[in-house]
Amino acid sequence: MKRLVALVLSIVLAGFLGASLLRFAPGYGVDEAELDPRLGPDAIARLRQPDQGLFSFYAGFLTALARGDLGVSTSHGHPNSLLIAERCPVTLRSVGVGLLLAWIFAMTGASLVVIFPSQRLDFLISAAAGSFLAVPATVLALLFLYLEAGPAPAIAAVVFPKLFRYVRNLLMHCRELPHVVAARAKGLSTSRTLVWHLLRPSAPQIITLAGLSVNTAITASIPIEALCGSPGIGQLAWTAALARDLPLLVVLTLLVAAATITANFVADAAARCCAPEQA
Amino acid sequence: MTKARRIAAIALLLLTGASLFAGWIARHPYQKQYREAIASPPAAGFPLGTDELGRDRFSRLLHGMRISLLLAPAAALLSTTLAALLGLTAGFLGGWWDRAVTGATDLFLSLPWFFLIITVRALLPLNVAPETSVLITFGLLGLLGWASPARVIRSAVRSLERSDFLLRARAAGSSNPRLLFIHLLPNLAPVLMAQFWIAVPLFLLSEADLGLLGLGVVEPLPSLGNLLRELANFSAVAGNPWMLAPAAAVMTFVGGLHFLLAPRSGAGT
Repeated sequence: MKRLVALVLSIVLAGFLGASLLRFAPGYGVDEAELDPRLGPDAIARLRQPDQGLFSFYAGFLTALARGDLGVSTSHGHPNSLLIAERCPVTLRSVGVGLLLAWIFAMTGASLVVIFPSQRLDFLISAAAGSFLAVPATVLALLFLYLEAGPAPAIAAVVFPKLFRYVRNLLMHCRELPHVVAARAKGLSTSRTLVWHLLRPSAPQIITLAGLSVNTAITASIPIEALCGSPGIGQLAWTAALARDLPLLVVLTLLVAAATITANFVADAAARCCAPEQA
Repeated sequence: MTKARRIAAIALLLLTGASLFAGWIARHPYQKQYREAIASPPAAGFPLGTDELGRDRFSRLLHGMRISLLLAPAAALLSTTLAALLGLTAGFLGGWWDRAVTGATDLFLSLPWFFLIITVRALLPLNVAPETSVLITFGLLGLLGWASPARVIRSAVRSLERSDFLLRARAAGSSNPRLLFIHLLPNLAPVLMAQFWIAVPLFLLSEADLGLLGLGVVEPLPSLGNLLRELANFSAVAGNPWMLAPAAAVMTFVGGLHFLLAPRSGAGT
């Protein structure tokens, strides 16, 4: 319950942060139409938004959000909710597939390194992961665009090295634990050792990492979708940033923050179910 | 130092040295256009050819590296200083300040890094002078990158709080500022250094992403980020592999740093 309250509080705080960004941005309340030289001071005054007090601005912003009114995009001229609803499925698909691929590669790579303790294999897989880690997400996006592979493998290439490094170190640490050494000495099969003595005790950390990987994948989706021409939330955020469409950008940031906070909350709750003694 | 680490260190030194002495090494000014040599292949005067505006790619690469390689550590220094200030005081003072800093840290960490960067970048004017764009880009990275190191520094302070030397100093009547700056801060030096060196490659990569998306350093000033924009022209890159030089420079620098900073037992990641 305490954690649920913390979750709601974090989202409300993120709302305040978003509202502050809007309220204190240079040019707040100014309409571009004011630049029309034919307009006199009276017409400009009528165009300008009435200067709300700070508290009523916050209250209005958060109440509208709670009602589901996400405002109107200044660059697209459409309701933000409509734009987001159109593009969410694209991002969900690319981020979902990207995460799935990244996890498959990371778990396979880490398991191989642990099962076959060869320095050469470890070096090869670690070097491959390390080289992906040194490439900007935008360059990876261009590479996968050139290969006509789409945004999902590019997202996987960004997330995989981070997952691999953590899971590898975690499993390597578990491999040296006395009960695992004893199990191996007793002749337990490799697959049984991996599943029951390495992966099972590491499950809470791996589940927590799954929650964090959502944040990494969403972060990677902006440059990747922008460059791959994938009409998702990332591309929408990029075009909004280039057009200084703050209402849309702030709502997107809030939604993404809510999604990552919720993912972390769910992962945390699942990890606690796996290891209640750590709760 | 192993052979591989030595190679990484030499590569980093060469890149940094070349960027620092860009003015001496490059034969042409980075902004000068040679209209008789538009998009020309490598030649004696132009080791990496010229871009579509007829500017020397080699000179732009060296000057771009100088901007990125000097300002990414400057931004990392800013973020580490901010993090040290917040983490140190939160861990040491505890109470409502600790809760406030921890809450702010959690909130910042829950916001995806790149979303936050482009949102705050969009708040500021996009059509600015090149020098201003450099300050905005690296200033933002420095100001927004404090959360993760602040959390680590706070935890380090909390663990040092229970140490014998601090207990003795407190019992001897040391004042709070003395405890903070004479006893705690020097013992946090390794943590601060680690956080600084973790931030440098992160900021280099973020600048590269911002630059390629047109939200970073503005032309004609070169940076590793905006030099990468040429890569979007696939047909040109396919026949001119030297256009990959900025990407190779970023990879060498970031990869080299990761390699040098990795624990000795690691295999290079």
